[in-house]
Amino acid sequence: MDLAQFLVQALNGVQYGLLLFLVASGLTLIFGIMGIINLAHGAFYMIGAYLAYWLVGLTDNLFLAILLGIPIAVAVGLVIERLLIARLYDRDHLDQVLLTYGLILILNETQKILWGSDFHGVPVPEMLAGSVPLTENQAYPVYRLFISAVCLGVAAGMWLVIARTRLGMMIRAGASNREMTSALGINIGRVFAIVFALGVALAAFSGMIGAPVSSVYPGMGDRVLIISFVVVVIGGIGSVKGAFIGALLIGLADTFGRVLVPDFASMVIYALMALVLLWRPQGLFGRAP
Amino acid sequence: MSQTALLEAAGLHTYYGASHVLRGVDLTIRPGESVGLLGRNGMGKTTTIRSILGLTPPRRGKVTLDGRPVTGAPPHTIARRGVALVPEGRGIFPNLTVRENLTMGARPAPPDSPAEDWALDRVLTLFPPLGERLDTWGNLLSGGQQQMLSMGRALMTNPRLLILDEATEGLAPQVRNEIWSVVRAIKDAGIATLIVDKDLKTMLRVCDHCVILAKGQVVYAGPASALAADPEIHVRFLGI
Ligand SMILES: Nc1ncnc2c1ncn2[C@@H]1O[C@H](COP(=O)(O)OP(=O)(O)OP(=O)(O)O)[C@@H](O)[C@H]1O
Ligand SMILES: [Mg+2]
Repeated sequence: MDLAQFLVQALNGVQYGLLLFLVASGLTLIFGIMGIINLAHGAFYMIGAYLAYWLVGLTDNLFLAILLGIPIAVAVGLVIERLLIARLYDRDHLDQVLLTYGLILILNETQKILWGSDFHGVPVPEMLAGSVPLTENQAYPVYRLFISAVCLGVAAGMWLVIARTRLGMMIRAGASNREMTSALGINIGRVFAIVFALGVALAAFSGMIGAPVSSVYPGMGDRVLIISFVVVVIGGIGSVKGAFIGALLIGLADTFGRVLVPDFASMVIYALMALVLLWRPQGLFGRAP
Repeated sequence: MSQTALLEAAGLHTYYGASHVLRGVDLTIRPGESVGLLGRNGMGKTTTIRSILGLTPPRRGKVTLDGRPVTGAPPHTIARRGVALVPEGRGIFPNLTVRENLTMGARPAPPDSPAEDWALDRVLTLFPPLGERLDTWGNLLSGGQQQMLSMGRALMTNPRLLILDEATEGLAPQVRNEIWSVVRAIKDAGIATLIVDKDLKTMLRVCDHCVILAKGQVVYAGPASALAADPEIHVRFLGI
């Protein structure tokens, strides 16, 4: 692999990692703060991708599609939270796994009813369709750079909200001591609903903005869910910073694994997870038990 | 007695799972009054507080604030009716700075209330050491400072009733005295208090009224002065 190829793979890995981060950060927040194992989180990524496919078909404009799609995804997420997830807060993990697994089945089936089982593609927006030269004979698609930049922006925005706003304070307080937070007059149920909706919005956004670089197909959320769990475990449950670092590690490991050891590509990320956990059982930024 | 009670708890029965911990607790607190809740370890003091706040809702009995029932309401609703808690163990948020701990639950006093607002400045005047450490993480404070933070945080919600569960536990004698003088200042500011503490002597001086619990039941309720004059009760129910 020469330098140019290395650079291409590194950029691909970072871009994939940043997309994963959007999904994994919601997963880790929902688990760390609300104590909910949400197996349906990957399905929201899929919903995002299908919304992009559907709305681009209607509007012929990915940006407009995203603008319209996020409120739809958030509405779906809020309905699910109020109707189903809110009943799980005081239940054990088995109940949560059963219910959210059932949700995957329902959402996947709904997807088939609405959009069928074919594979679809979403075109790259025209204004971002070009590529930038890396070396004389190696170019890199602008749209992938755009994805990375937008995801970095979203990550920075998340950091701002969590570290600098009153909502962020409530989210952190709720994560460390739910009872004390509510005894101070804060409606923890509402905070949870907001966190859940934010998580759904992030996952769906990831599916939407990533749609032009991956195809849109049934069950596409399942693999993303598993990898996002790997990210959450590596980063440390509940840690957004951990999810960020973990997602970049996994994105790079997966991308380079496919190129360097294609026969073992599917194992690379799990090997990485095992190594991290041997070294730090609570994950990179997890609180020691 | 003509004044309506600020808080009235009647016949509280509270369980942890199958274990029946409170067996008919009654408790009344009038506006501005200071009530001491006494009893040996494990007799149900903390559980009484949890029942009042809705953290462990009672299975039977009722709680009213200003005569309006709040039984079964979630803790945040009860807190917003003017009740603030300084819990056992202080409940500081370690991942929030001192300033964030103070401001996260802050609520202005209701517009019709005659009391002066407990804003950040006023709280910091009461607890000067906190002012020097506003940007420190909550868990990096000393025990005494954490206690001040917990009390300051509660005051910032502008409560009418402040509940203090073992506020002086584990503190050096001098720090305890500081905490007690703050408790007196809070009382002088017109805020009613429900105080749980092991220090009977100081409790008898600070509180207007005392309630003693034994095995989840009220075994004594009366003016602090009457309890002070009755050492036999101290021996029987407090083991002193
Ligand atoms: N979460 C719980 N689950 C089960 N039992 C509990 C729980 N919390 C308290 N108890 C039991 O309920 C009883 C009353 O406890 P509570 O904490 O109200 O007592 P307390 O008077 O505050 O005691 P202390 O002086 O030790 O703080 C005790 O027997 C205790 O063991
Ligand atoms: Mg107690």
